[in-house]
Parts: sequence; C-alpha cells; structure tokens
Amino acid sequence: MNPGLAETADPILSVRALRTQFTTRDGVITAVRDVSFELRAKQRLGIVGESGSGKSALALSILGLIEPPGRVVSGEVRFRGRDLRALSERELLRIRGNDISLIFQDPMTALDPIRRVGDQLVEAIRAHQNVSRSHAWRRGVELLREVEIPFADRRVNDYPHQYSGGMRQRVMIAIALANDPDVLIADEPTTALDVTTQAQILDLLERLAVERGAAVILITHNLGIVADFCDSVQVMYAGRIVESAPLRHLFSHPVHPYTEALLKSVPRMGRDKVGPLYSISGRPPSLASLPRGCAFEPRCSLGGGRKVCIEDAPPIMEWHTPAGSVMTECHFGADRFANHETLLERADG
Amino acid sequence: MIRFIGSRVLSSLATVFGASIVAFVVLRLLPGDPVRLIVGRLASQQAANTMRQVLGLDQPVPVQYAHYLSSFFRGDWGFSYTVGEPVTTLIVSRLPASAELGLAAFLLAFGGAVVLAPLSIRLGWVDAVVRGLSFLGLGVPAFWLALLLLIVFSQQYHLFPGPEGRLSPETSAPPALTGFYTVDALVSGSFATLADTIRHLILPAVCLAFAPFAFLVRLLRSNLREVSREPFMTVVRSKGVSRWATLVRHALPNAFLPTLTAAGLVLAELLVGSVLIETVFDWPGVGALVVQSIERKDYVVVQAVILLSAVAYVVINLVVDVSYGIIDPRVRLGSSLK
Repeated sequence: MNPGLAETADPILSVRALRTQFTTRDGVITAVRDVSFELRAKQRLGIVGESGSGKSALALSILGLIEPPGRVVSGEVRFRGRDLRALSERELLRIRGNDISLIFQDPMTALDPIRRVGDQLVEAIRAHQNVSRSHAWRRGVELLREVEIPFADRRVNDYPHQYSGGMRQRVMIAIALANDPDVLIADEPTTALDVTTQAQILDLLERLAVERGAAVILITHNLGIVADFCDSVQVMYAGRIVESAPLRHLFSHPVHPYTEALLKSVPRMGRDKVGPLYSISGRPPSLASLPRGCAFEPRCSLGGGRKVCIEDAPPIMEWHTPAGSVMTECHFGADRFANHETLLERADG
Repeated sequence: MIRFIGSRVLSSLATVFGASIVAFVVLRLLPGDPVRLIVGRLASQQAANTMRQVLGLDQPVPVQYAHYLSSFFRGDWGFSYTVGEPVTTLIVSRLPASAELGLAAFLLAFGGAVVLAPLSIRLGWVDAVVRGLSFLGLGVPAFWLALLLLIVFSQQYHLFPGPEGRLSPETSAPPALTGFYTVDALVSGSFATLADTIRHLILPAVCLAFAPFAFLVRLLRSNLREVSREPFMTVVRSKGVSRWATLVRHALPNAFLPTLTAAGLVLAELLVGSVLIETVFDWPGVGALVVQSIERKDYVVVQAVILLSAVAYVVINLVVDVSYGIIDPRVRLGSSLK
C-alpha cells in the first residue's frame, strides 16, 4: 500500500485521550491512560504490549463494553466522525458487530456452550440484518465455508464443544465478519492456539480483511505476528501508547527503550550468540500506583535513575518520516530519533 | 444415552429399596402391638391371634418384609382399620388435593425465581427486594407465616377465605375428573367454582412456596452472576445484542441448568403434601391424612405415605437427571470436553 496516501486520508476511527478506570478494593486502577490514536480505512494496526498493559481494556473501551466496576472516564472515540461515547446504548448496539467487530482471545470460552454454532451465527446476522431465520441460517453456512470449516452445512448444527480450538476461532471470525464491518478489532486472536493453527488463522484473517476492505486492529504480545500482519505498530506500556511507528521503522529503529527491550527479547532462529534469552528486568508497574514520572523508569536501561525520568512525565514527541509519522514518549526520544536518522543517512550515503 | 438412563434407573431402584427398609423397620420399632390397636384391649387372646395370622405378623420378619414389598408394588398398601378403607383408596382420594396445592406452590416458587433472578441482576432495587425476601424465606417458619397471612388477609381484610379447605362451605365440588378442582371446574365450565378454588389456593400456596422460592431465587441469582462473567457474554454483546437479550437468551439458560436439580427436589417435596400447611388451612390432603393417622396410631397409612414420598422423590429425580441430559448438549452428546 502507499503509505503517503494513507497518511492523508481521513481516519475511520480516531481515539482521543481515552481513559478507562476500574474501581477495586485496592483502589482505582487506570487501565487505559489518555490513549490517542487514529486508524485509517484498510489500515492494519498492531497494538503490542505485555499482559496487563491495558490492551484488552482499550479494545473493550472503544466499543463501550467495559463492565462495572470498570468505566470509561473520559475521552472520545470517533467512528466516521461520530463520537461513540456520546451515543446512547441503543445507538451503540447498531455499531457493535455491524461497523466495528471484536474477535476475542480465548475461543474455548467465547461461544455459548449450550447453543448451536449456527444459532450463534444467526444471532449475529439477525442483530443487524432484517432477514428471516432460514435466510440467516443459510448465510451462516456460507460464512462457515468462508472461514474454511469443512462440511459447513453439517457442522453448522454442532455445539461449540464439538469443535477444536482453531475451528472455534474460525467461528469467531465468521461471527465478527457476519455484517461486513469497517473495523475489526482482534484481541490476541491466536494466543490460545498452537503454532500451526496460529499461522492458518492469521492467513485467514488477512485474506478476509483484504477481501472485505476492513481495517484491522491486531492486539497481541507477539511481535512476530505484528511483523507478518501489520503495516504500523503501537507499543503499549502501563496503559499508555509509548511508541507508534510504521512497521519497518519500529523494527529497525525503535525509539523508546521499552520497544528496544521488547525487540531484543524476541527469540530468533539462527542467532549467532548463544546464551540466555534477553529479558526486561523487573515487572510492569501496578496500575493502581504508577510512578510519578515515566512509568518505564524503574526498568529502563537508559535513564539510569535520572531525576527528570523519576519526576516528570515524558513529553509526547512526533516526527514525520517518508514512511509515516513516528511518535514516542521518552525524555530522550529526540536524541535517539536523531541518532537513528543520522545512521540512516550514513547508510544511504 | 441409554446407558446413562439405565444407570440412573438402577440407582433409583436402590434408593426406593432402601426407603422401603426404613419404612418397614420403623413400623416394627414403634411401641405398642399393632394387633391390639386393631382388635382393642378387651378382645380375647384368640381373637388377637387370629388377627395376627390375618395380618401375617406371625411369620418370620424377612418373610413379612418380602410380603410387604411385593404387596406395595401390587398396589395393596394395607387396610386402615381406623377409617375402614384400604390405604390405597385413602391416599388416592387425598393425593389430588396435595398435588394441586403443591403444584401451585411450585409454579409460584419456580416462576417467581425465574422472573425475579434476571431482574435482580439488572435492577438494583429488585435485587434489594429479592435479597430481603430470600433472607426471610429461609428463616421464617411456614406455619407461622400461614397464621400471619390468615390473620392479616383473611381475618382483618377479608381478602381471602379462612382455613376452610379447598372450597367455601356453600360451594359444591366440581364433578370429579382429575381431582384437581381448578382443572375440573374449568372443564365443567363452572367459573364460580374455579374462582372459589383459586381464592382458596392462594394463601396456602404462597406459604408453601415461600421457602422454596427463597432457595431457588438465591441459587439462580448466583448462577446468573457467575455466567454473566463468562467471556462469551461479552462476545454476545459485541455482536450488537442488547444487555437484556443477552441475559435472557444466554445467561438464563446457562444458569438454569444447575438449578434444575434443585427445582426437581423442591417439586418432589411439594407434591406429596405438607403436614404443617395442610393442618393450618384444613386442607384435605396427604399431609393432613398423615397427621390424623399418627394421632390414631394408624401406622399402615404412615408407612405407605413414607414409601410413597420416597418413590415420588426418586421418580422426579430420575426425570430431572434424564431431562438434564436432553437439555444440556454437553451431557447429551457425551463429550469429555467442557
């Protein structure tokens, strides 16, 4: 795709300063901290982060599916210019599953165990299309064929427990695509599956998304999947997006030290150095009591306990590159970005 | 599935067998000579011996037991000398009254639980009311509640009839078809009788239903809460299905399954009659018959009722187990996966 063109197109989904909190016995946990980003039509955006970094909460917040004790406190979610947070529950029902669909992490628990697969497809179709049950049922069989379920006309009568994990995830995809959404949010769609099934599911997702022209937000902790699937990446840490960049830029020149550490901790085949796998020291901070300054400071290899990192929240910095814009939140972002650019120029010259 | 049903039938038979031993032994352990109770204290020893032979009580205990069991299943449950009728006739004449009241109470308890549990999940004030009611229901004794309701709604406000049984004295019973007055009145088209029957049913049914309602609504409510946290509930909502439809279409059937067993037990208990409520409301059912028979030391009747209620329990549990298998596809299709 042409990134220059994509950059100028109006975003289909734009999230502004979204903040989601959960009230627990241990205090208020801010799972999503003023997150902003934009998604353009047909874009494939990866959101990467460790468990507990707020990725799933972000996905549910976009669709207004956060359940008490959680709640979206502030911010905007604009879909085609309309602020979803200002809509009533009734109006939101028309968006969910129709314009924006979700695919969930664990296919084993994502389907109602006592309803036939066909009924669960019919429910998705009939929620948005004014068609008869039998018509919706036939459409359900077609959808199962599209997600490559063998003997779809027979298997449509089965119950979820008669399907394997991979097949259930195919059903989830069929449900998510039932109404040709513009945006597909896939929350760890392959995490619960074995590696070969993962690859098949991703291929399927990619093919169907391209066929239907849907934009995809792929939420994962797996950088390998992002590299295969996405055209741009956002890295989430402690409820914030700490870096956002076009795919290649992020992989070749990570600006934020957390991104760099994440990339280093990916195991690679045939790497010449033999030794223990790199891991980021420490643990993600508790979202109930975040550090005053940079949330990554206690684990950062760069700051080294500098006062500015401990005391002040890092500024948002943004640069425009030919491949697209690069954003980061790090006190040293400017230096690091400039370093990369000079390296690039030297390599070019 | 056949094996599943077969094993349930076998274990049910074992339960009935056990209950029959208990009923038999308890009768033998009771103080007093049953023969003397029948022939009277003043009868001659010879008359007593003849009666003993007639009753088969001169036989060895195992033979007596075998005789008792075989005649129970042949429908010969003994003869009540205090009433002068076979026990079978006696119980059959009383059973419809108890069953009608029990069924009405069950519908109230179960229907109330199924309606109120989902509402209590969605509406805070309903939840407060339901929690209060279920707390009271588990604590308040039924006979006390019965007296209270009679004082308030019958004596004070004359909204419902007093403790006068199934009908007002001036109303005559509908032609006997099923023994259920509501059904008989409806079939014969006498709507005045139907209205009178229903008016008489309400207070005892409410008293009888209160405790089982409290139990069922608590169970269903906590099951619903658990199911509501399942990931598939969020998936359904993400399809664009409303909260309420998600609750009714997906949470309720899933939460309902584990409640089914409890509902079966409740039904079995209600059908064979309640001693206390039937006594308070002068309801001519099996429970009242038991009380009368105990007072008159008519143990043959008590024994038959014990075994009958055991059979009712077992049969209804069997039906519940089998229907569980039919409703839940995971059981029906015999999968080890959840």
